[in-house]
Amino acid sequence: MSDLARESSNSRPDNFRGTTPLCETGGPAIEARNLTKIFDDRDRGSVEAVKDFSLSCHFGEVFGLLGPNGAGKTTTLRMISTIIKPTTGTATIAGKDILRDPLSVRRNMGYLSSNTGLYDRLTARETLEYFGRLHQIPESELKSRVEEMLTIFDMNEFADRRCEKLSTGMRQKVSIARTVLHDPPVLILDEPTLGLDILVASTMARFIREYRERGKCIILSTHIMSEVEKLCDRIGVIHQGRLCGFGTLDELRERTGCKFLEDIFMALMEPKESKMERGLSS
Amino acid sequence: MKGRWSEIIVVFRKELLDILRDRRAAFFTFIFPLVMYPVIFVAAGKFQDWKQSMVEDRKVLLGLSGDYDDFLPLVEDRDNFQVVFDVHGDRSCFEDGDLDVLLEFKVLRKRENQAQVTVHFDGTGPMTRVALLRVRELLDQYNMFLVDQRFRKRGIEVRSSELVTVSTNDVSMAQEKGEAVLARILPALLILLFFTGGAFAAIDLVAGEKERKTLETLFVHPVSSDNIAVAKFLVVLTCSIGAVALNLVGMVLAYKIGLNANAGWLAEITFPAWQWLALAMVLFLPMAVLTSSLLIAISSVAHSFREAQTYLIPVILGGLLPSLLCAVPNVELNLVTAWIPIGNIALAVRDAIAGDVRWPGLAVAFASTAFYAFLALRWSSRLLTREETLLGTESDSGDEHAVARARSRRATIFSICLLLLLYYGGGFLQNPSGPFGLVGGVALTLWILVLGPALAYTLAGQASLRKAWGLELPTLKDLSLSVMVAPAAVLLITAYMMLQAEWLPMSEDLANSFKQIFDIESLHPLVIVAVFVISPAICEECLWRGTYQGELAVERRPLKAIVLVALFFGLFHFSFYRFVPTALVGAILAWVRWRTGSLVNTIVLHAAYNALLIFVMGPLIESQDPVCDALLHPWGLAAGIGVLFLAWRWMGTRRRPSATIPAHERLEISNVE
Repeated sequence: MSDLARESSNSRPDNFRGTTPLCETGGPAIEARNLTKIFDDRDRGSVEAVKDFSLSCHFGEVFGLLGPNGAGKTTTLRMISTIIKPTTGTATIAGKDILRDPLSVRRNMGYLSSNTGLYDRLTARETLEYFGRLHQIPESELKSRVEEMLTIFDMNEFADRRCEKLSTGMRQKVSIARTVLHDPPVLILDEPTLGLDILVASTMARFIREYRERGKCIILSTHIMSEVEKLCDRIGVIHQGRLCGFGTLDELRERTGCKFLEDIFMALMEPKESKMERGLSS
Repeated sequence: MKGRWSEIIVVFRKELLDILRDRRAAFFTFIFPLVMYPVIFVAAGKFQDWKQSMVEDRKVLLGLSGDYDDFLPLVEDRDNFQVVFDVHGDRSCFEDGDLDVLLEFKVLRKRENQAQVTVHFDGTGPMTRVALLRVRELLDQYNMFLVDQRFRKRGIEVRSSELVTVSTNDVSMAQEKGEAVLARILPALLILLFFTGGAFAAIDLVAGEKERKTLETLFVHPVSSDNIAVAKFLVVLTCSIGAVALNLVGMVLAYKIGLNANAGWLAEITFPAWQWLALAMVLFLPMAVLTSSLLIAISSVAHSFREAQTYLIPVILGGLLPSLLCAVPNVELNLVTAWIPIGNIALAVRDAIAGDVRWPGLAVAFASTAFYAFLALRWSSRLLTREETLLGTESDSGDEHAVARARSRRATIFSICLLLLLYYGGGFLQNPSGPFGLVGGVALTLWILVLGPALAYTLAGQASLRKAWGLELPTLKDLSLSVMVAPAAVLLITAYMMLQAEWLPMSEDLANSFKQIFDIESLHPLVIVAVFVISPAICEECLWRGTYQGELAVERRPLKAIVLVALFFGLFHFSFYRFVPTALVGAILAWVRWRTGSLVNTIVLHAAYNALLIFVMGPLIESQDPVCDALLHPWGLAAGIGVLFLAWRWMGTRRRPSATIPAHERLEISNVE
């Protein structure tokens, strides 16, 4: 795994879609402008899950999206990755607009979350082949690309086992391989270490670092502070659907006057909580 | 032991709560059958009436041969027979529907008035059963005639005697019987297989994927959602057709290897000629698209595999019922039945299997099914690709609308439940031979089963009764116009009912009920006024224009509210015959409620309408008074329309009904924000 980045980069097929080296263009990898999403909940009325969310991420950067459960992280990432449409606002990924050209956006990104499951009745190899075909990787290259992924992620041992028979760690490897199979310039990872043991989680962290070294942009949503501190170049804190603050760790330290990320996190959320408390008491 | 049971009870209570909180599953398991059976019974009754009227209209083709001179006058008295004389019976005379029954007479002893009759018939003919019943009646008459001849002319009183010996001869061959039965069973069986064959695939590919979280994985890859929908649909279609094909192969193989040796008529079946079988398969193609689309649609709506399974029961049942038309004798594929979804294909395939194709009906059945399939395919594709399917969320909208829609939904569910209560409870109370009689039963139903729940529902919603029901004093102008609308509505609705009677005559039961109500002399006028004028005006208005319309009005979609209130008011009268007239009255009342905002106007209008109908229009129609004809003259109807127009122009100040969002729901919204 330590040679993941180099191996993957050397053998990257350039003639299938999604491999345009946009990371070298210098433009923003992800640019979100005023994204808002309102859900109509049967019991609670309409819920503004994300409000006026704007953000810019660059190639060669890991951007950490930090927030408590229900803060709107997943909804934001789902909008950026074209799974759902924003109520207002838009975003671009590698220059492609999520509303105007969603299929191009999907070709240029890899999306992994706890909600992206695997087909239990397919083997690991069949899973990769299936998604490779959806990415229109030519058949002549597909086999070698899948073999490459199986080797990189050390999956040869269970490549022909059905996914339903795999352990959580093995399944996560298949999911990661599925996400980067087409070598996308942008990776969107929504709580990728949720429920994983420390060994698999550290493998994931190593993979993220190596992918960044290859000049890719990674947006990582999590509520695990240590993960953010170790991996992210910049951090955005989201709370109740709003981006409360963002910047490098040092910038956030300076802004809040707190040393540890946990305290920074609480400090960024606190004004809103205080406002709410004041509002309730009045 | 006690501890063990307490544990069982704790777990039992939790599991039951868990199951009942799955509202959709609970609805389809417990409430749906209560709704379904009244609908099935009413539909079956209407279907039986329709079938009966069709059969009664058709003449039986009766062939006579032998010594039938004494019998002939009996047939000539009946206009539901067409006689063909001197037919010498063999199988050929029943071909092409030339004859339904042939009677061959042989007089045994002329002096003794004894006769022997052989009844020849084709057991597979569509009219045979009806024809045999009618012939049975004639032969009984014939027997009576002979008895009369033999005994009464001698002055002997005889109650019964069998002078006619009847023997029967079914000319159809065992093979034909087998084929006829096959033609009646096979289409319904295959349609059931189309549903069940595709069901698992549909549920697994949409609801199952949603549950296993693979749908989101698929939707982040560069493939259009429409293509995904088409691919999934094709899988369901393939499974559906595959299941049917394999079942057919299984049937044929089982038959060929001789497993039918002891199967009676089944042993005589020869499978239809290949061209007819091919035609049946072509007919099934659009239907397979229709069933597959429906299956995809229910799977898209469901949040989980289990929920999708609960939806399957009503969908399969709903599909199977029309397919059973093919098993009903005397129902033919014509230009009317060719429009009945699924039933049309069942009939067409039945004819194709029997090798008796009616091409115009078949063409319409194919085209209409293709059209239905197209609509269902578009609908299922839209459902599958929407965000709600992927994430289980609702679409965007404003706060107030969501709460209003939730209230409107709750009120509609309440109304459905109340209709069920009234169907069963009201039916019991209003039984003419029951403890309360019709009049007492109507009064009890209105004050207890109609007003009671309406009052309880509104008060439970913590709304002010005065505001929710619009119990405000009307303006004199609105009140006067409401009174004027009543005679106009009576005229127009009566005219419509007369028009409707041309194609949908009133049933005898309903006519008797009306007679009892309109029989002013048998009831004291004050009782009539109390039970049939004032009580409905108050109770029904409080329920439908008060509670239900008040709740719907929060959505601020007056047209939707008026249509729904009218629909439920029509259903509330539990009569196929009265559905449209009462729905029209309901629409007028709902419109007045919306326009004026006051329930008092609708109560006055409803009371005036009922009073005019019972004391004026009813007796005029009953006595066929010329005044009635004058009123229902086009000029009279034009005047009625004119009054409605004036009311539409002048009535009301467009005040919105004053239903409000309760305080606790407003709080929920502010919390969300």
